[in-house]
Amino acid sequence: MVDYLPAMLSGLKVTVLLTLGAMAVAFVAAFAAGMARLSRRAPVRGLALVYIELFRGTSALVQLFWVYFALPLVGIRFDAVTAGILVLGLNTGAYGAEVVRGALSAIPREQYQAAWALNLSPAQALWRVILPQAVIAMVPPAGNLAIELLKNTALVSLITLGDLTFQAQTLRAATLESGPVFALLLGIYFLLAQTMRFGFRRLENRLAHGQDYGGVR
Amino acid sequence: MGEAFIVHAGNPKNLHSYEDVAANPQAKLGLVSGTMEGRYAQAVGIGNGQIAMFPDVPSALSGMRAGRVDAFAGTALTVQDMLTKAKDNGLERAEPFSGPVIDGQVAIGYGAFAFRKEDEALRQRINKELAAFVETPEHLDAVASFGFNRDQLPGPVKAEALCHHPDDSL
Repeated sequence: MVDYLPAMLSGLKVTVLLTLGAMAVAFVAAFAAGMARLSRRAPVRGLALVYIELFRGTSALVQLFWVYFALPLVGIRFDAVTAGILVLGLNTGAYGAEVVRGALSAIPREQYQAAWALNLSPAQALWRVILPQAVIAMVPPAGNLAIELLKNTALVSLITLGDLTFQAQTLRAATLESGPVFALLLGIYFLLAQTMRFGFRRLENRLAHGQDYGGVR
Repeated sequence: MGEAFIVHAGNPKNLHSYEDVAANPQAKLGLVSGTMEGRYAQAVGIGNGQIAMFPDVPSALSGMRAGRVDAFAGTALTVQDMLTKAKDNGLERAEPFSGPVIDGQVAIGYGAFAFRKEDEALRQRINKELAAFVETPEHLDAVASFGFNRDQLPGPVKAEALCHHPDDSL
């Protein structure tokens, strides 16, 4: 099994890079689209809806194909890593937008009114009253999405990237030892997922500190 | 079965062999992962950064059209089949083309059957029937629609000679 390590490590690097990059893209996209869905302006709401439904309603594999193979034909060219991060991030961000919207909507109406009565601007109300509570509710589903994202990175071999799963398949083809190779692959994904779970748990604890409700104690 | 390249019309990077790709660091070669072409590319010294691994033939064709790679390497049969189906004026077969030279010999892929060791009688019987069938008009007719013709027949080459090739370790 030691012979497998160099190939698996090079795959691990690609998988981790894509996961972290796509998480960052997803974070921004989810907040932007989730808050835009609650905007008072109809065009903003509409734009967010189009983005969410476009990326949620089609498969990540097909999205990768279009961005990597079809966009160059109209002059838009991303290298494989950028294309992978962008597509996987926007895909996960579309699901995340609904998490953000749901958590924001779950804060009782009265709190917005109370904030208004205290003469807080909408931005202040959002930043100081609503978000600190809503974010705690977003963390567990966000953790789910992040682990989904980790496993979605296995799709990038379509766009010529050598991620963990691709390297494992190559090793299988070369050695025909499916059992040990897949056992190693399973172990590595599990460890990665557990690391992420730990991180999200820590984040949830941290955010819940000093809050009246929500989160874990 | 020999090798071939698909290149963009006019072959702008002038690629006529694996060695041409190795000699031009700007050239990018596409291939299907898990195929012999990967080993040929490695053997003639094409750098990993010059190789794009596609999961299958349709993706490789898309990669050519999108300009992700300058050439696609496959067996002559795969390449011809791709070009026939793609009907794309922007792509052509690299002509002339010379196969990869490995250990002083042009590498050629041979199709083969695999048997369990205890099935010696079956192996001998199939060999006998094959010897009688290969090269007959009936055989050539049967495989013509897949793009095979007399050029791909092994001729006088014997399995014993191929199976003891110094490249066994590859």
